[in-house]
This record gives sequence, C-alpha cells and structure tokens, in this order.
Amino acid sequence: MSGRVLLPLLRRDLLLAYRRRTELLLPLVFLLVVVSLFPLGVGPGPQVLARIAVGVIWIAALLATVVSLDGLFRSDFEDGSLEQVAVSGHSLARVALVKALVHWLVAGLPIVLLSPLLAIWMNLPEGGLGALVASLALGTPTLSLLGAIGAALTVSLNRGGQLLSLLVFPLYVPILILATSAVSSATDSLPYNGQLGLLAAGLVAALTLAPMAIAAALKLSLE
Amino acid sequence: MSRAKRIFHQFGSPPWLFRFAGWLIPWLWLVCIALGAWGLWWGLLIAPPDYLQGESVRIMYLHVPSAWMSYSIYLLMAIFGFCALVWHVRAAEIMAMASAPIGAAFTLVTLVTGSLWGRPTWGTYWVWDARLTSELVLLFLYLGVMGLHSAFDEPRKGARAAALLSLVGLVNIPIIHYSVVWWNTLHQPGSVGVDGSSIHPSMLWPLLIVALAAKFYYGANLLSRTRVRLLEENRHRRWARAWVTGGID
Amino acid sequence: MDHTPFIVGAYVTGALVFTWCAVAPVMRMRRLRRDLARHYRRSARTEAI
Repeated sequence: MSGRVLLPLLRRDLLLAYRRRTELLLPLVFLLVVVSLFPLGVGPGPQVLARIAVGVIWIAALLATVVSLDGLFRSDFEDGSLEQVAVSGHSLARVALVKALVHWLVAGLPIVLLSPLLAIWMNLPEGGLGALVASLALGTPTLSLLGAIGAALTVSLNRGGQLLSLLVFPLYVPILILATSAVSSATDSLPYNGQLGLLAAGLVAALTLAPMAIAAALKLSLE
Repeated sequence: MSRAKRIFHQFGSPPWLFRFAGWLIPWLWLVCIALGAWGLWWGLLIAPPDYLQGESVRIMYLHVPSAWMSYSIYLLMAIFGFCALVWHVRAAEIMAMASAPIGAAFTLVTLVTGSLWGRPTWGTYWVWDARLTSELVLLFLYLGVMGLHSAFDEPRKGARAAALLSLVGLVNIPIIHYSVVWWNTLHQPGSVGVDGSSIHPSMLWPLLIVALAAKFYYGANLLSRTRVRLLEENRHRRWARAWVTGGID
Repeated sequence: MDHTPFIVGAYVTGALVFTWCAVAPVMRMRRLRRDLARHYRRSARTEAI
C-alpha cells in the first residue's frame, strides 16, 4: 500500500507547494533579510563577521524553518483532508514522514543551496564552506522532522505560530551546537567528521522516532 | 495482582483521590516544613563555610536540591503524561499538568540562586556554564508545556497535547544536556563547576535533608493542585456538590 | 567580599517563589469553592421554583 498511496501524496503536496510558490519563497527571503541585518548591526568588519558567520547562518536557518513550519499541516487540517487521511486506515506515521520530506524539499533544501551565498556575505573562512553545506544538509531534515511535531501539536490552535517557536527551539539546541562546532572545526582545519557523524545519527533517530510522535500529535489534534 | 489493580483503579477514581489527597496534604506539609527547617538550620548555621567558596556555599543548600528537583519533576511529569496518553488515566493527566508549574518554579529558583552564587564566586551574575545553560533550556521546555496546555480551549485536549510534548522533551533532555556540556568544554576549557567534584560529609547531610523536604513540598503542592482540577472537572458530580455544600473532607 | 547579601537574596527569592507556588492552588481552591457554592445555591433555588 505504501508506495501506491505515498507517492501520489508526495506528488500532490509538491504540486500544491509549486502552486503557492510565492508564499514558499517568503521564508527564504526572511532568511536573507535576517542574515543581511547582522552586518548592519555589528558592523561590516570582515574579522567580526567571519567570527560570527556560522552562528548567524545557522540561527537564521532555524528561524526560517520555524517560520515556514506553521503552515505545514494547516491547510490540510482546515479543509478536512488530514481527517480523510486519518480515517482512511493508512499509517499516519508514513503520511507524517512524507509531509516532513515535502517540508524539507521546499524549505530546507533551498537553505542548503543558498548557504554558499550567505557564507560569502558573512565572510565565512573558505575552509568552512564544505562543512557548512554538509552540516546544513544533515541538520535541516532533522529540523523539519522535529518541527513537524510542534506543527502537528499546534495545528488546531488559532494562534499556534507564536507558540510553535517556544516548543521547537529548545529541541533544536543540540543540532545548533553540533553544526556550528563542525564548521568552526573546519575553519580551524581540524577534523569535523565526528560532529557530522553525530548530526547524521540525530537525523536517523529523528527519521525513526519523529514520524510516530507527529502521527500521535495529529491524532490528538483531530480528536 | 488483583489487589494492585484495585489500588490502581481506586487511584484513578476522582472522589477517592480527592478525599485521599485532602487527608494526606497536611501531613506532607508538616514533614516538608520539619525537614526543611532542620536541613536549613544545619546547613546555614551549623555546617562550616567552604574553604574555597567561603560563606557563599550556603546558597548550595537551596540551589542543588532545586536543580535535582527540576529534572526529577520533569521525569515524573513525562511519566504521568505517558500514563495519560496510553491508558487514558484522567488522574495522571491532571497530575502531569499540575507538575509543570512546580517544576518550572524549581527551575527558576535554580537559575536565580545559581546566578546569585556566581556573583561572589565568578564575579558575574551569569556565565554560560553548562549546568546553568541546560537549566535555562529546561525552563523553556517547561514553559512550552505550560503554554501549549493553556493554549487549548478544552483543558483535556490541551493536557494530552502537552503530555505528548513532555514526552518528546524527555527524549531530548539527555541529548540537550550532553550537547551543552560538550559545547561548554569547547568554549570554556577549565571552567569552574557549580558544585565541587567532592562534597564534604558535613555538607552532604543537610543537602540530603533539604532535598527530601523538597520532595515532600512537591508532593503536597502536586496534590493540592490536583484537588483543584478534580473539583473543577467534576463540579456536576454529586460528591463534589456534597463536599462544597457540606464542607466534609 | 561580603557574601551575606547574596545568600539572603537567594533564600528570599526561593521563599517567595515557593510560597507563591504553594499558595496559588490554595487561593484557587478557595475561590472555586465559593463560586461553586453560589452556583449550587442558585441552581437549587431554580429547581425549587
């Protein structure tokens, strides 16, 4: 059943995302604006920017992810299609996994692709670029999966968006720490495989556990 | 087995729990105050000042038990939440949500006392020390659970959503804690820990007594919060009416 | 450096937070009980009529 149902769902969600593409570009514009504010705030000195580059880029990525999360289940919840899926007997966990995957494809992957530009803006030392892209590629899917739990918990609330950031940011702390330390190690020409390995382990754990939590949260929200 | 099961069901019965909690709370307060007074008297007046930290070590008799409680209450809240989600035990749902503000209070006290201890010891109120930082994240987790609970119009739905969030948080707490400890060693090699690696026995005893008092405080506070929720939810039941109008415990 | 103000400050904050945390449910119980008593009296009166 899985492939026959999940692939059309994936295609449908991606098509829906494509039709609402201006709406989807907003988090990316938000990301660019947030990063561009830092040089204005702390001054354009290349040394200062280089020191804070990783942190700024990663925090902007967290913010952009949370901004885009609020709408993850909202329209499906409001038009009743989420309920249809829930009563259809398909595994809600797999549906949740597809939803998180779509979210990563439309909100996480663009951040990974944009990161070289951000690295240039923030004057990230050149040795760190590979680590930055790798850490974002491994970290943003985990952000989508963990964030989807929060989005599923708040989907039935009218003003869930403000609450969502409070629920999700504490869970993002380990990813932020690991990712930024990987990039700092890379700029200091130290090995950073360990941090990337832990990020990958986090991704695998989130891939196995988060869909169940998302499904349980969706069931609660649909009650 | 059947007896254990009966006790379990009895515990989930609102009127029984309401009455039992009403009977137990004064005793818990009595023990809490007695132990707290004994432990603090010992810690503040009898125990010697630390030869490194001086008199400021006396803040530890409040700080350390609060820190222990902040984590163990989160664990208990998640266990109650698990019972609420899996077995639909109403009492567990109420107790999980009643635990959150108490845990948040302990976390807040841990943070405030930690920074007041830090001023004379480190020379600054706030250091991004591993323990303080993970306590801060813990406070955010508590605030998230409380915020999610109160955001729902239906309290029961809110309680179940918040219970699920507390379970997600429980899985993450060790990861957060170890990542913060590791982050701290990266950025501040050789930072001073909040409590020394070895505690002198003269300090340990009052510390343990205050910690025990804190557990009784949690029990009494938890049960009195639970009683309020039980009465609110069962206002249309006959036993609630009898208790309010008759004033019989 | 005199440590006393910090020790006193720590214990005063702790006392305030814990007292407030313990008194809040007691106050809520008292208010709830009063409201419920009024509610029950009113409903009893309407039933009598």
